[in-house]
Amino acid sequence: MNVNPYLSAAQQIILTQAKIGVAGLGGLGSNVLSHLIRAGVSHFIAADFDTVSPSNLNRQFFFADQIGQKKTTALAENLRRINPDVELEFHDCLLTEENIPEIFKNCHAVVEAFDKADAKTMLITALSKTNIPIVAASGLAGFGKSNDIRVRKVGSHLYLIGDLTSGISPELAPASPRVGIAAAMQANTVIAILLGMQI
Amino acid sequence: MPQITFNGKETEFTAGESLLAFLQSRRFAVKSLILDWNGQILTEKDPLDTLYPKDGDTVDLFSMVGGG
Repeated sequence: MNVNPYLSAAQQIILTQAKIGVAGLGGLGSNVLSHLIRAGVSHFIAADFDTVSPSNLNRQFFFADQIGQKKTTALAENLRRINPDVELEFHDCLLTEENIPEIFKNCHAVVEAFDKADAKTMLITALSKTNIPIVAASGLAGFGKSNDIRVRKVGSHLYLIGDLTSGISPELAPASPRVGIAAAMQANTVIAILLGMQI
Repeated sequence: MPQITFNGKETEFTAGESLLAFLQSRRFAVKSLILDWNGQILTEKDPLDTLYPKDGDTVDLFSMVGGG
C-alpha cells in the first residue's frame, strides 16, 4: 500500500526499498516509526525488550488498552493500522554492543531511540566503525526551548538531534511535545539521507 | 606550540599529548561524550589514550544526555 502519493515515482522506489533500523521503541522510536511509515518507508528492523506501562502514555505511540503488552507486539499492531503492508522485523530483546552490528547490518540508516545516556553512547560505539548512518538524539526533556533542538552532523555518519543539555532529571521529565519534535526531526533526517536531500 | 580547532576555537596543546590527556587537562569527563576527530566518530570505548592529535586537527565534543 502506498500511503504517501506526494512523492515522485523515483522517490517512492527509494523509500519502499529502504530498510531502516530503530533501536528502542519508546518515545523516540515509536514516533519515528509512525512518521517514517506515513512518509512512505515500509521496511524496518527494530528492537525493544520492554512492555507498555502507564507512564509511557504521556509521549509514546501506545494506547491505554495496550498496557502490559510487549512493546514489539503493541507497536506492530498500531503501525499496521497506518499501513497494513509494512514489513516489520521486530526483536523482543535487549540490544547490546555485541548484537547491534549483526541485527542492523543490512540497514540503510539506524535510529538511536534509547532512553539512557549510556545506552545511546553504546549504540554509537557499536556502529561508529561501520558506514551505516546513525541518527541519534540527545537533549529533549522538558517543555519550551523548541528552537534549541537542532540537527548536528558529527563525523562521517552520525547525525545528532537535540539541544545536547536537557537530560531527564527529577525536575525535567520527558514529555510528548519536545520528544515528538526530536522524533520528527530524526525521521526527517532519515528521509533526507535516503533521498539525498539537505539535512 | 601546536594548535587544534577544539569546539570551533583555536586551542594550543602539548605535542605528544593523547586525546584523553588533552580532554582531562580541560576537565572533561569522557563518559557519555561523543568526539568528532577530523571526521572520525569516537566514544569513551575507543582507546583515546593511544590517539594523538596533530597540529591543525579538528576536535569537537558532543554530550549524550538521557531521555527518549
